[in-house]
Amino acid sequence: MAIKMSRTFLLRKLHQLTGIVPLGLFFFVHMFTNSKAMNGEEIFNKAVADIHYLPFLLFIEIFGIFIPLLFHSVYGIFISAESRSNVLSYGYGRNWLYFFQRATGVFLFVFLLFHLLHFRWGLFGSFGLTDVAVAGNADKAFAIVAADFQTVWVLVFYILGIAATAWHLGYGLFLFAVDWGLVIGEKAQKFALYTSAAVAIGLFAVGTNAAFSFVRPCGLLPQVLCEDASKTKVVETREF
Amino acid sequence: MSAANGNGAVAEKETLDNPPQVIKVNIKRRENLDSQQYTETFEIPYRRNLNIISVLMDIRKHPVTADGKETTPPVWDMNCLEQVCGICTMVINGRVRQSCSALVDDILIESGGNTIDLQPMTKFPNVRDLKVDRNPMFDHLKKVHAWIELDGSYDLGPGPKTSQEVQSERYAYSRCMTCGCCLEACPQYHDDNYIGPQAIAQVRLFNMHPTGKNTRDDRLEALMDDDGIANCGNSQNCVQVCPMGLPLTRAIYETNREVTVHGLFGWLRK
Amino acid sequence: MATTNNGIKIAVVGGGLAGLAAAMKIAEAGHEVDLLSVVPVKRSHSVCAQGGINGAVNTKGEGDSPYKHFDDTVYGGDFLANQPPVEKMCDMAPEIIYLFDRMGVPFSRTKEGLMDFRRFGGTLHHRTAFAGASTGQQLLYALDEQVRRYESEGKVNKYEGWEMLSLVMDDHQVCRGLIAMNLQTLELKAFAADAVIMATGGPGLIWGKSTNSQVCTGSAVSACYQQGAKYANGEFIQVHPTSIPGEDKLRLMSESARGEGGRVWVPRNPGDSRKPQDIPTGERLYFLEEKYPAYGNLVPRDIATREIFQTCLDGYGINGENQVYLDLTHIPAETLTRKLGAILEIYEMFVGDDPRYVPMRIFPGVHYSMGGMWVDFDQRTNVPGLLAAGECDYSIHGANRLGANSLLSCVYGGFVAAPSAIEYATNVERNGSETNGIHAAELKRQQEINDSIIKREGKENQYKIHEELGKIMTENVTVIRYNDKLKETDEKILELEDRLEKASINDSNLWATMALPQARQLQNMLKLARVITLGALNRDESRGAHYKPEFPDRNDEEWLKTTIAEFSEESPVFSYEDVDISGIEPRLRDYSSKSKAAKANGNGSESKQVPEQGHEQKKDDENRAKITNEDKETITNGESFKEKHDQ
Repeated sequence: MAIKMSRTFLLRKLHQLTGIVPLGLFFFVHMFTNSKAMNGEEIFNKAVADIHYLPFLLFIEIFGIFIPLLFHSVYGIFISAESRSNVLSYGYGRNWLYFFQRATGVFLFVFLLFHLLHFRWGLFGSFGLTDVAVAGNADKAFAIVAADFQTVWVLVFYILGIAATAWHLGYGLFLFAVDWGLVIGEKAQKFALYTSAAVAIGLFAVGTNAAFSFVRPCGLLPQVLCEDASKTKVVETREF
Repeated sequence: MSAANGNGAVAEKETLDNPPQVIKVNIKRRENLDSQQYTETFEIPYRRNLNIISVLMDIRKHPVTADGKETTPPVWDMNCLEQVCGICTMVINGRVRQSCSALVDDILIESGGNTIDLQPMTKFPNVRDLKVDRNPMFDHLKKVHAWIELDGSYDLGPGPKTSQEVQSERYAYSRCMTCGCCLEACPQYHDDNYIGPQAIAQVRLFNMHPTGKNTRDDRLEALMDDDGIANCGNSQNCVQVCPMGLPLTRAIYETNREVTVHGLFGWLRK
Repeated sequence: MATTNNGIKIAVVGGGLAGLAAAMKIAEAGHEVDLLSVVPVKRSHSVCAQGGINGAVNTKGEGDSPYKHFDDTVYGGDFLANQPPVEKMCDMAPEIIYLFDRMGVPFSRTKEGLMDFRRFGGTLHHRTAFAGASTGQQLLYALDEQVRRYESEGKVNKYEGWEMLSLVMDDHQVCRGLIAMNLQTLELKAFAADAVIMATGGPGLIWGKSTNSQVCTGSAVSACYQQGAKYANGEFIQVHPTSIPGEDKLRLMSESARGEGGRVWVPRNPGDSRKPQDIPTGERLYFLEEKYPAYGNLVPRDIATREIFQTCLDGYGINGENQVYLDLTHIPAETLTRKLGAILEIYEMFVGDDPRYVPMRIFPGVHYSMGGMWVDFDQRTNVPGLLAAGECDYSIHGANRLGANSLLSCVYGGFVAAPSAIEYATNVERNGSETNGIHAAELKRQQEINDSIIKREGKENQYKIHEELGKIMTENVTVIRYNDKLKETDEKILELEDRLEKASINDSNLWATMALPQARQLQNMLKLARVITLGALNRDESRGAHYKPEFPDRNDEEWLKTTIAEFSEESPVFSYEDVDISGIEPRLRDYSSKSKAAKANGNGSESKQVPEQGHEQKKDDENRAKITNEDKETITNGESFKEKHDQ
């Protein structure tokens, strides 16, 4: 007998899945790449350049990032619009988490739009930001970000963006676990929730530190933890 | 007033030491399904051991508002008054619960004032005053086939053997009295867009039964519909407000697993 | 309106256990059912039953048998029940329990995975199947589910939120359907039916506050009675000794509280307004322990009920109210939690005090009506085409009901009424001229009654009248009955009937109003209250739940008879019918020792004690010697001391 399932069911499952793979996975990679800025401009620029030379890059970008992201965010907005949040009447912890998941989602929609238009396409020149996109300009990547992060609101906006993404993804892991029936009982739920929170906090810490690396070497960490790029100069700077 | 007993243990329950002379009761009223909602305030003298039902009974006897205006008696639903029939559910000081087990003293201690707000459940058609129409919930039970497919009610001997573990989990789900607290508190449920924890728990109840398992897929597929289980947003309010203490999130997540396996991986078995 | 094609149509009034059982059976047989209920059927009063359902399945190797169950039931009912249907019920009981098991009721289980059974009052056998402490709820839901299944197949038409107002009778006094009112729109509708099964439960609201639900008004049954149906044994009302008085209702406090050592007391000084914990032991009156040193707080149910009642009548109630203390605070809290957790939570939920630290306040509460519509052994009333099942019929429990027998009798009643109704409906002559226009005529008559009530004016308040009815019925027509008080009560009821004529319904908005249905119910309750009161007045003996200090003995010679009331405008007309004792010959009720209570079990042909001299028959043990003669008799009428689970 054919298995009957509704569009809503499929879309929700797809929404839950895209949040983890590929988007969650991408965020991990993204934060890891960003963290290379801890070791200085050249290392970071090289990392960006490495991405540029990935095989099937356009394919990966379109099907691995843009389409899932578009689907996840648009359908996410739709889900949020469906919600009738009632945290003021029922102020339970999980209910607040439910609310935050939607709030961070909506915020991220705005943030990511800005982030893409800005760093991918450099469309915010008129706001006093660099009008050169990072994409395609790997040799200037560090400089562009560092310049823009001198503007306080941009830095704050990015820190908030990283925080929101980290939480949205971390708690999203928990949600995926329960929505797909991996985690069921109370104890397991608690364990999954703590794990998710740990992931979120970890990602936030890594991401924030990476962001500050564009302002200060090694970000927020003591500089002894970072390689001094000038001393161990094994990397050739490419000519573009 | 807490007293020590022989063991020196002391009751920790708070009591209303300085009760107010009168209790103010704000009731959200509506004349019929199509009319506007409005609020009327009533005052009744405080007595000990009042619950919301007896407050309403008092008001019904002499329906005069706090400013002396004669009005119609408020209408609400009530039956068992023991919190097992589920009918008297309403929103009391912003929180959904049964009005029979809502004690005035406890409410006043919690709010610290002398005012009680009563309003009908907001997620169901409001028939009049505090009365709502919860028929959608019974329709949900039809939709998910919340029953055992019996060959007949004649004598066919005992049912299947069941372990104590399965029995006690099923018993917990079987206590659901269809009161609607879970749906009222669910931020995902409105305009009957989502079948909700109540029906999902009943699916679990029957899917766990040795005979009920035979028709498991029908119930799972009912939950894969547009208003199905995927609409759960995991706010987990349901399990917090459930007056019968049903492990509703467990029911939802167990069923999520079944639905995932059946719906997403089922085709791999073809 | 008339049934289409040649199919028969049966209307079932009431969606509790009995009504659903009947509806299921009729739908299963392939016939059409209209199922009417005041509340959604899943919210019927059956949900309140806690303890369990009896059936001699004999899984414990105790040699239990349906015959022993039959004997216990008849004996517990003080031999007032006609025995053939009781025997049939007990025979059917194991089958009924197995059926519920198949329906998926989560009955408590043994290690092996079989159904578990526990012991209940009035028997020595583990005979009661139970699902946690909410067996009634579970059984009701199981039937609700099966009926919903038939409903989704279009075989059952549910009318929830409809209240039956009257029967439609043809010129030959044959029931041809009924008139019901939609409680939201107040629309009246005639339901044509080839047979009507009443399954509307008990009349507890006549006592104002009882352990019954708000729908248990007895109104529909009273309407049938006023249209010619006989009402039987109305005076037999079970009063539970320990209920929790509330402003709105009385809630059961299980007898297990006393079983675990609970002590009943009142302040020795009636005016003592100190908190119970501050009253020293010496100033407490442990009246059960003082009067019954041998049994103390564990005297049988009816004795406890009477003593608590009398103590309050004598002015010893707490602060002058009808309340006494049931004290558990001398028992370690942790023990209480372990043994009585669930029931103590109920008290805490509804009273707010923690009974582990504060003595509970309790008082007897009206619980169950053994009496009801007269039916024959096939659940048919004297009105052709009208049947009854469940608490609203009188047939099973005699003068006193045993715990966990009520759920059984409801299901049994429904299961018998259904085929019986089908048989009648199949054979009844239909579509003749006698049904022409009768539905419309009755509809019009009911509409006129509604209109006249709506127009009523006057200073009287119907809720006040209901309160007054409840108060006087509770005082005079419950535990201890005196003929002068009963006469007084009847006069009061007549006065209330007059006053109700002058009560405005006081609600100008008729949409979904509670006032009009309540006015009609109250009118019917007053009629039924007279049947109960006058029935009690007439019966000059003590039997089961009916106790008159002026006539303390059971008197089989004159009163081994079923009371039958028939309506007349003036006042109910009483007649008496012999009880069918073809199975077990009456013997004195005596629970003083196992051998006495349980004798006759096995073959039922042992020599019977014929109680021509009532209380003089006992050869007592030494404890008994201390008890006065009158007390002896009351113990004789009692139930088991060890009823730990109530229903």
